[in-house]
Amino acid sequence: MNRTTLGRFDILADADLHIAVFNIQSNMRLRGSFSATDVVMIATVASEFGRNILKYGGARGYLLVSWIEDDTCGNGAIEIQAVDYGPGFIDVEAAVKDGYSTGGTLGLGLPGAARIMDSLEIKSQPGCGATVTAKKWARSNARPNRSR
Amino acid sequence: MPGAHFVLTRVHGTLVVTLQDAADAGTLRAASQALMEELEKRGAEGVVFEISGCEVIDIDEFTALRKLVQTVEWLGVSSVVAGLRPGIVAYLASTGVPTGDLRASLNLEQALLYLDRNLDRTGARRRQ
Repeated sequence: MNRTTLGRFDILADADLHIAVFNIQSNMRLRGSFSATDVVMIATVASEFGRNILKYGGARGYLLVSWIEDDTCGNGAIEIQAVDYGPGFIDVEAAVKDGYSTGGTLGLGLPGAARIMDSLEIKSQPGCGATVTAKKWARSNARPNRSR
Repeated sequence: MPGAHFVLTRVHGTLVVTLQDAADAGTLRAASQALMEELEKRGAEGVVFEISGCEVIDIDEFTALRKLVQTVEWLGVSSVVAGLRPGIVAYLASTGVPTGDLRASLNLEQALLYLDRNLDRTGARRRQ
């Protein structure tokens, strides 16, 4: 697997979130590999992850966006990794179930991301922050968005 | 207002709130304040939230927008959200976020047309 970093965005405030989402959405590798609808959905997943850093991760963390290429078949994938230094997840399994929230929100962000992306992985130890990693493979039938 | 990216305009009796590039909390708060002041001062037959400039709207932002729409409805003013992009709609549908009885239209023109057809000139909704 070849890995290329497309961007690393510190998330300390709302403004950082907007900069990260804008950059992800306008990334040419992403726009050339996914349909316009998929690009918006992937950027929104990044927005949800960043918002979780602000809400639950003590507003100390970052988003790491990478492009992964499978050497054997040449397929590419976008990977979004959210790393925070907050208190960590109380219950990792529950966090990906619809309606579960410890912050009084709808609890739809992570379950939604799990449905939109091809894989979602959460690594967390209580008191030691969390790393959420989501990956989506570019489909050969996805229509590239080269309009802008 | 710093950080607030919206424009409030009046098209005949309808107020159009244009969110220029983001539906973030600061913009929605400022737009809400300006809209409420205008509704109190001069009223309106309808309100259109024109959001075609927003390329990404996450669940929190959509929920805040929906609450603002609900507030307008509670004041007895019909409202339409115009210009939701396909990617945003696909995202919201995938997450299963509750949309309530939100009315949406493809663009501003259709939103104005809808309000024109469904309102009488006193601002009350026509009986179906």
